[in-house]
Amino acid sequence: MSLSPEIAFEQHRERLLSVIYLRMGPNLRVRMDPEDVLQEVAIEAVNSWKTLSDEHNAGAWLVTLARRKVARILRDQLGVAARDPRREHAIKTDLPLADRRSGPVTHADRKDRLELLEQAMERLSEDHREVILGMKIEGLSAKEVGERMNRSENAVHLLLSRALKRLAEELKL
Amino acid sequence: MSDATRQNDEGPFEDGVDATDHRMAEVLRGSSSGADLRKQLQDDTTAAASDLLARLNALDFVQQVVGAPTDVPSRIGTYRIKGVLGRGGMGTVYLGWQDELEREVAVKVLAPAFSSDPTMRKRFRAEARATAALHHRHIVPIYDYGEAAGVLFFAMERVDGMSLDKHIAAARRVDKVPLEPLDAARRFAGVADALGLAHRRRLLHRDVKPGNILVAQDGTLALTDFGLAKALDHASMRLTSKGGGFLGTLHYSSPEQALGRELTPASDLYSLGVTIYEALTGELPLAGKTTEALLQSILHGTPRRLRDAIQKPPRDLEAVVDKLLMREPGDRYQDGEDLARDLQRIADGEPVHIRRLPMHVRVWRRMRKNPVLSGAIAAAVVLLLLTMVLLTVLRRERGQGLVFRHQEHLVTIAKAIATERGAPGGPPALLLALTGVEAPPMPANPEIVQELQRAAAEQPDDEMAPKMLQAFVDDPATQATAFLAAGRGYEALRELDRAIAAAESARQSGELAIELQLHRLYLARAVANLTAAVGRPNEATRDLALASYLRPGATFATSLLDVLNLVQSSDFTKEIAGLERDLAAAAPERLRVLGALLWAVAGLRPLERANLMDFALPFPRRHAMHALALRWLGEEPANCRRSGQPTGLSAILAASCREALARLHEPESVKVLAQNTTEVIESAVHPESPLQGWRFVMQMLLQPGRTVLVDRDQRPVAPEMQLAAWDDLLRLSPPRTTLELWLPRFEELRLANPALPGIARVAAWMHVQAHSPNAAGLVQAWLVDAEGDPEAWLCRLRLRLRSGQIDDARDDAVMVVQQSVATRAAVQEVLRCCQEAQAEVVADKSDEVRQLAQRFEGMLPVLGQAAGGGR
Repeated sequence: MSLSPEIAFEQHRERLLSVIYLRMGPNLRVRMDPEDVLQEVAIEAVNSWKTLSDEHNAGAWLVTLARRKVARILRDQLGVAARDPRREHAIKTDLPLADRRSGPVTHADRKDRLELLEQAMERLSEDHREVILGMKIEGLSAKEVGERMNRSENAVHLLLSRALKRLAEELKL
Repeated sequence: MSDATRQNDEGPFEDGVDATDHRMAEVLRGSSSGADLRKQLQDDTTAAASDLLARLNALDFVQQVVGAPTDVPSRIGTYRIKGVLGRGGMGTVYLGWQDELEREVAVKVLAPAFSSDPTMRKRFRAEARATAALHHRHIVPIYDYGEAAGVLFFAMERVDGMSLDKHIAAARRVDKVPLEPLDAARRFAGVADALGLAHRRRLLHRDVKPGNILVAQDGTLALTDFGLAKALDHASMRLTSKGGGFLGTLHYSSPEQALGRELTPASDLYSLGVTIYEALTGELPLAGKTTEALLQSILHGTPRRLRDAIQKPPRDLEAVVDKLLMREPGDRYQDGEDLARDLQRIADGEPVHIRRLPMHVRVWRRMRKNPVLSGAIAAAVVLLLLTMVLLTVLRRERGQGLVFRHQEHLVTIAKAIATERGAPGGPPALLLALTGVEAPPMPANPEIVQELQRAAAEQPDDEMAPKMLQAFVDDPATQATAFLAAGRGYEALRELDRAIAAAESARQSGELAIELQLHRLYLARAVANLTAAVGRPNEATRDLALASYLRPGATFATSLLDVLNLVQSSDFTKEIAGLERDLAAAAPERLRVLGALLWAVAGLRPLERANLMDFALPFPRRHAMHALALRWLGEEPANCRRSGQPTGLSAILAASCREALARLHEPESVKVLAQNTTEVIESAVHPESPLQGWRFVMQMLLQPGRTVLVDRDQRPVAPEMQLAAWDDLLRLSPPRTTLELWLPRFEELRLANPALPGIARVAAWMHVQAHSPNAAGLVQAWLVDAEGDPEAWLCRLRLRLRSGQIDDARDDAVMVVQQSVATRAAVQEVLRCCQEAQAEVVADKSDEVRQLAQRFEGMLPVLGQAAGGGR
């Protein structure tokens, strides 16, 4: 295999951090830094690299690792299987998305955008949030999201289309 | 989610699923392209179109957060692109595939900012050619270089592994040392040998650091990016000004490099020394939290010994590292091969004989610290040594006691100057040059002047005291200061470069008088670099660090440095908190100076005669800086220009362009105006300053049909500069008819460079002012990009008023006022906007506009009282 876990991780870093950040939610972020979770995912990726069957799937595989990691932490820390937005209230945290490669401006920019996205997503319905998360952030296929949400591929695309409309409204785009 | 809405999402045939949903779903499915759809929607003003556009924008937003996968081109030159290996300040490295040789390659594509400059392209080609000729096991070979789709790239061997800096970071996270000493010695021997080969070919690397060393799977180290630093030097200054990347490379730069001096092979070896040190310990031998501190540490600090960082390092290895990190280039290894030989011997367990300097030389070196830059306090010591010489001369003629007393007297004065708390406003001309704020003259400290006069009188044979007196009182470069006061930073810069070179060469003697002069010269040059006519913030930071080192008590240099740190810091809130702690006991004048500088940097409503460069900061940060400045100043400074109005030198250039615009029907006078303006730009504007934009505005006015803008060497202009020109043009508020004529040409630029920073704003205004049907979509796009900038709301307010959407316009007007720091001024902007719209709307809407204006006008008296408080 020519792709190393470090490189695969670097390639998908932004995506992984977004997944972790959004899946964690504000309550958990107060207790744990998403960047630390990202580090743990990186270590896990290096350790279990051999279990990856095809390096073309590295992105999806890493996202799965990240999702499982967050789910485990949620269970251990909050005692819930998944996040329930009604029981949480947004607490603004200062997330250090430290990234040695990008300058402070892009860094601040990305952080602000992620924060904005999170706040807008908070106000979407569960289904809308799930479809955006699955398709556009975790990068799953319509088939996979459809299976997860019990819908046809066609319906997933339509759902995403409407979810984007709502997101645009929330983001005032 | 309720059952009713779930139904709607369930399938394509339920009620409530409309054509828009389907159309967007097509794009999401990938069966039609988002970019095509966007193009089709450009001229569509229906609700469905704006709905679709909003969905596309939302999609873009999400993709920006995640890091858009569309970033990756499918092909570069003859290489098929398979993935991204890494991204850095200089560009992106892709994993490529070369079909004819069936091999993987790494393709490094330089960032567009580097590719757009013709000089740089030439240098890049020269360097790539030279490097391609270097064949060494520890240099990553370059296979090919070229240009594709306007960007420069080179293909090199694909090294399966990671860069050394990532390896170091990974080790640091798990609290391990990155490399074991003997292992490191063996691996770096190869790198040293590679540098030796390059140096024999008269090639310097110039940027040796862990990020430029690749670690292969088997642990072999290989150098990459040879000579790139030289090729990119020119642009990297501009580029890093936004990313604040200056510190990154300063960590590994030798003292001579930090000072911007001529480099030698020993400079590369110094950087390799820092790299080896970091690879052994995970830490840097010299550290500093700020640029200034780091620079001081590099120039004057003593590197941490290896034995203080790791346990029991091999003695010989420690000696080798010590020798590499010597401050004087002459004391280091001169040749990569010698270093390689020593490292290899250490790895093999054989003894190494490193010649150490004789004891008295080491003591002398430590005592005078750095001969190229001895600080004012160190200067007092040097002065003592110099007066010893003086002593032998004078001793013959006068009583010893007198001479001793004179000498002690001078040392006391030197110490007093070194620790003097300088005037907060510094030389008033410099503050004036940046902010346009006139400060009262600041006479030199009268007590010190008196002491110097007394010293000069007590020993008429000694020249030192009069020289010190002169340097303390006089401006070393009056001509340059005059230029600066007029905001003509580029002309001042040329004078100052000369003066600094002269002072530096005279400095070998270490005279305090020259140090005093240099402080003023560095400070002035920093100011020159920060003017709009030059615009090189990294150069300014370095000069300020040097200036404040020479006289730590001079508050103007430190204040300016504080403001620059604030601009470049990644953690703004923390930086402000730190600064406020420092300022708790500061004099009110210092706060006023800081406030004026910060106000000018924020630039939301620039001061009338401000000449400060534009830092292109995102709106939220400018807003925060503006609020902070307002707090320090106590009230809004007098004579603020409406935002977007040119100030300083820019205002002068704008005035002549405006006149040309008014006389478009008299081609002869436009020609004369153009000639004069171009002459002013030639002499007063740095070739890289955005003020060059006015040159192109004139070209547009002169030949409205012209399609290609050219610089003074008749070369086509980079997109960034073209955008600056369009932006400048808008500031002249040209009539709608003229803008309509120009719009197609602007569209060419926009469609060719959709991601150019700042283009959203210019595009929105262009289309709104030209009454284009695309205005709504573009304003919308800007609002997404603007991060709450009230100007974007103002733009939409303008558009909505004109199209008679008065209710929506009211919301925008409220946003304009809410988002602005200076509420009163914002209300006035809204009123102006209403006034302009009155002339354009149909009669029945005119009343509604008037009512809206009246409501906002009603706020003014209330605000009038509040504005005075300012807090």
